[in-house]
Amino acid sequence: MYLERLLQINMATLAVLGAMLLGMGQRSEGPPLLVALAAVVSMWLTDVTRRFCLGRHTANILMLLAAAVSLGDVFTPRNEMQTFSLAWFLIYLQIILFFQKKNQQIYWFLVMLSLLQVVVATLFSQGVFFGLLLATYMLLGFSAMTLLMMYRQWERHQPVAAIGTQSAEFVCLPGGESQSALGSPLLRRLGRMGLQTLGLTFILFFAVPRYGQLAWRGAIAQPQPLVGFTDKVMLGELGQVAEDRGEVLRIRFRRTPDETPRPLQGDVYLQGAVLMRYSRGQWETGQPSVELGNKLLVRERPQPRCPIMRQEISIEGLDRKELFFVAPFFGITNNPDVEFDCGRQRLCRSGYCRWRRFPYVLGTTAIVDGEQSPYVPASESDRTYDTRQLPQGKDALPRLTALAQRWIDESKIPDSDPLGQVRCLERKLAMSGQFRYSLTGQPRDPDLDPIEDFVTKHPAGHCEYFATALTLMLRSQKFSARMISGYKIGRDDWNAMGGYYQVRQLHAHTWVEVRMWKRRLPLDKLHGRTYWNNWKNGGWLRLDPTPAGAVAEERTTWLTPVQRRFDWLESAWSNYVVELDCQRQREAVYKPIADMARFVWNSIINANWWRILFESVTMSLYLNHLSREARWIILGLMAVFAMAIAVGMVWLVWRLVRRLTGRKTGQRRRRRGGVEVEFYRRFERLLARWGLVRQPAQTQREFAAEAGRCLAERTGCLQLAAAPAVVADAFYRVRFGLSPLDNLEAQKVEQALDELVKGCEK
Amino acid sequence: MLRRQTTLCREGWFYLAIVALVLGGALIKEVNLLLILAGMLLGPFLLNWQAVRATLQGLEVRRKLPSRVLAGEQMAVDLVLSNTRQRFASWAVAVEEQIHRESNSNHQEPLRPSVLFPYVEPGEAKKGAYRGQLAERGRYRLGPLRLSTTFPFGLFSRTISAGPCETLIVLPRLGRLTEGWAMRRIETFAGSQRRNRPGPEGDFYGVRPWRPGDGRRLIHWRSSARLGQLVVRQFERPRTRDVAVVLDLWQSSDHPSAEEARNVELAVSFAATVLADACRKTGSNMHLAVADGESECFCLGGPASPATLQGLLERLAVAQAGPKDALPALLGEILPRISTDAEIVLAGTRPADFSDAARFPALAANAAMRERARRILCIDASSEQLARFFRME
Repeated sequence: MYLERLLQINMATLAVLGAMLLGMGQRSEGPPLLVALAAVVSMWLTDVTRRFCLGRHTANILMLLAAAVSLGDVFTPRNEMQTFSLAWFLIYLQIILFFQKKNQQIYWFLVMLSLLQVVVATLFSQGVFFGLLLATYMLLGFSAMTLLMMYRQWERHQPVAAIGTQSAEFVCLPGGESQSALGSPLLRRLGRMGLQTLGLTFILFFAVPRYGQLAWRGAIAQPQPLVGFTDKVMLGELGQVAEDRGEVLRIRFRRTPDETPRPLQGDVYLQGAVLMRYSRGQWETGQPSVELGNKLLVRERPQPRCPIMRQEISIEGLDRKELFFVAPFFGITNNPDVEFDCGRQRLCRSGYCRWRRFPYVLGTTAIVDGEQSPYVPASESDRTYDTRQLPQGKDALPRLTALAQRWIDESKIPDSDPLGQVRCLERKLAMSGQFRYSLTGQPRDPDLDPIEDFVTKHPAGHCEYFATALTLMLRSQKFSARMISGYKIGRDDWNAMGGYYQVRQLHAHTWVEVRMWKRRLPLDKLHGRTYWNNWKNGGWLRLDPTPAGAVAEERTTWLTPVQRRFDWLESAWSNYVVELDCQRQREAVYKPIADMARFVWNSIINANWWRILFESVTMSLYLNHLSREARWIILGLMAVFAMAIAVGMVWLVWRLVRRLTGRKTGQRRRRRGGVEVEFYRRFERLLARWGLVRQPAQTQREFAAEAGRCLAERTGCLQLAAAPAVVADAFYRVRFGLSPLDNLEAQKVEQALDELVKGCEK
Repeated sequence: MLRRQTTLCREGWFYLAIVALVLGGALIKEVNLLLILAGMLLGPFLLNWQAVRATLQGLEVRRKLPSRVLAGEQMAVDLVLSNTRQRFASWAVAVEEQIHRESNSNHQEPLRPSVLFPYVEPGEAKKGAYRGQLAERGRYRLGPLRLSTTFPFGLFSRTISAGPCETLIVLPRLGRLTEGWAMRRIETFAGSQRRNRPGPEGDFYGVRPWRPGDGRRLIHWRSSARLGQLVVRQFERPRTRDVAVVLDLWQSSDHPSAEEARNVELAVSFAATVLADACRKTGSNMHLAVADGESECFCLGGPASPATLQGLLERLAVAQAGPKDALPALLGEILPRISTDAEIVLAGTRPADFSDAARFPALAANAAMRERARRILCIDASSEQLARFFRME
């Protein structure tokens, strides 16, 4: 019973863990919760109390129903949905089996179903935590299979199980209790096997040659919500900005497809949405333009003759369709799933592609000398009236306008230097120290516009407040300005192993672009002039009023070092486990091993290397004043001496280990007191039911005598009173006489124990 | 004969199929996580193969047989499994016994009681046992013992043969002699006492002074002369007689019917019970003569003792019935060797008519033997007669 209960608990845990792995892949809590609930309820109702049990036929019908319900999506074109269906089918089957009366076959099916769930889980995109849980699952699977094996053996050798077989007349009494096998030695053994398996897995994983160029990155089970980026900024809406480390996209820059990607200098701004209109704390994109419409992403003809940079981006499955890019961009490949919304100035993917990981490639001229240029060429379609719009009437922003004017006045920068004025406002917001960056929610005056409150009463907020303040200040000074929502990444986000920037949710950022007319633009900093029609419409200058240092300070917590290590781990997992492909395997595994082997071999066969080694050793031992022969002799003797010491040390350690393990074994043997004394343990347990427990100072015979007296007084049965003495005598014979009991003696002991059991039941 | 063998269990085949599918899918589709899973699945598979080999190394098993086993009676065989290794324990070792009945005419499968040893620590021994009944008398061969394990995952199974083969003789089933048997003996015994009077009989006990009424033949003259008074010899009065059991195990063919086989066993059990009963009465001699289907006939005997009884029962255990009529020759051989007042019981599977001169020509020719044969108690196991004296329990 103990063994079976342990097996049931192990099975339930294994099933829940398998479902958890599946749930991680699906990014859904449903499977693990459902399986956990079913496991707990079935254990109580079906296994422990046996109040509810599904019959075989009922279970079969339910399984057919489960197949009909869950496999309906098998014929859908989306592979993810098919995988989902299969996963749910496996879960339904597992739940049905939970509520059946368990036998060896059902337990085996449960193990196999759980394993299949994990197989399905590996097809989804999984992080390093999946790997850790997978190792745990493996150990749990080991224990489940071991318990199942023992349960099967135990059932097979039960006396009841023998009826109807050839050995019908025989009752087999096992050589020990099933619990005796389930101690710490078994756990240690399984732990060793787990380590060996992990070692084998490690070798197999890195040794098996890959032949493809791209490894399977895993299906996206469910689009993740974008928590940082939005195309409708609502100031004062967020209580506290959540620092989500979820990955949004990866981007790498290179001139040609074969070039090794390198990180850029400085920060990289990835544009997502252009926010034009502000009203009562809310930003919106511009109106869709009927006359401009949408354009599919096609390869531009002709391609720019100036140096261009490829942006190779892989964006995760998200709940929004916006794509991100370094502006300005142009198409270098045809991609019918990507279109540019000219009115709203945003790049989008088709709805179907939004749900899955989506790669796209763009070109840009904005990377100059390994750095992103702050200037973006303006197009003819950029509407000036939108980018100069300021709330009017009761929504006007007098305080913000006055503050901007005061700063301009204080700076004494003439109107002829608009760039100076713009930079002045940016600096005032970012560096004056008057405004503080904060991700936590700030109290706002409900009677004021949030941005008015920010610049006058509560000068603390996140990037949206800073960007809004600067945009509106610029507009108040008659500049065309717009707010850009997207992502900002730095050198820290460069994944050197993978050769890409990793953009996470927490990198969401807003910044400002102010329009500069052509005559105000620094010609030496304009890129792609021939392609962008010589910037005849002017350009947009990127301004970032958010205090950068404050951001870093704010984001650093006590968990940051742990998170960084975890990031490194995640990055290593992603690059060298999930996405290990042919090239990476060659570079990371084969080549270092081959180099090392080559080096060792070359060193061995190189006489010069030996000579240098010899010289360096003699130099370090101050033997260089001796003759060559003397040095050889001394070094040879020292080598022999060192070898003898090493051998002696190994021998000593070996003896020590033997002695320790031998002593431990001896202690264990003494503690357990032989094999047949199991009946005495049973005897003590029985007497414990009577409340009789042997004191440490009592010998077994003294205890038996006292127990006999107590039993005689309590029951008045002399036969029962004599039973402890019988058991104690047998114990002395076995324990100290070291002779096993023969059949007759064993029967006597069993009889005495039976009498004690019956007496106890009465 | 199987010495050692490692096989893949049915679960192992399923497991291997899944491993192959996972590994194949991982390699074809280059799903690295699936490759990791394949490694984690392959590990237990290989380790199980290694573990079943290691688990059975250094194990020794001993069998302890009971001193006497009767057919249909409970017997207990102890199995002691010792782990002679110093470091490695053994888990889930099953020890399977094989019990073959020699001269197994029905070609039955051997019995295979199996005892599980859940855990045997290094350097220690555990005792298990199997208990049960062997329904038929005869000589049984036990062993070799088979040690098997599927530890730890049940994917591979390894079996090795270990331990010596031993022979166990299962004695005939004993029944109960009825009141009728006791009455018959008393009557027979009393009759013989009457017949043998007058005259001293029995073993010499001692001398005592003469008392009036003592016969002159009883006077020990030499002692009387030495003591100077008349003393008489005193004899111990015999209370038991020798018992001879003649067993006629005849059956119509080598492939007897169930009824015939049952009668043979009844006759054997009756003979064994009579001998066991005689053994309890000290002072007599016991003889057993069997008209055996194989060795034609044999005759054993000795003073009543447990050792003699054991020997006779062991011989009875292996006695075989046959179609050959060996009774006339057996009687001719045994009757001269048995004391004249011995109680002779003929237990057979068919009636014996000693007046049949064609069947018993030796008796017809010898009047003294014929007279002795006349006093033989013939009991036919195929008739209702046996039920008067004997009952199986």
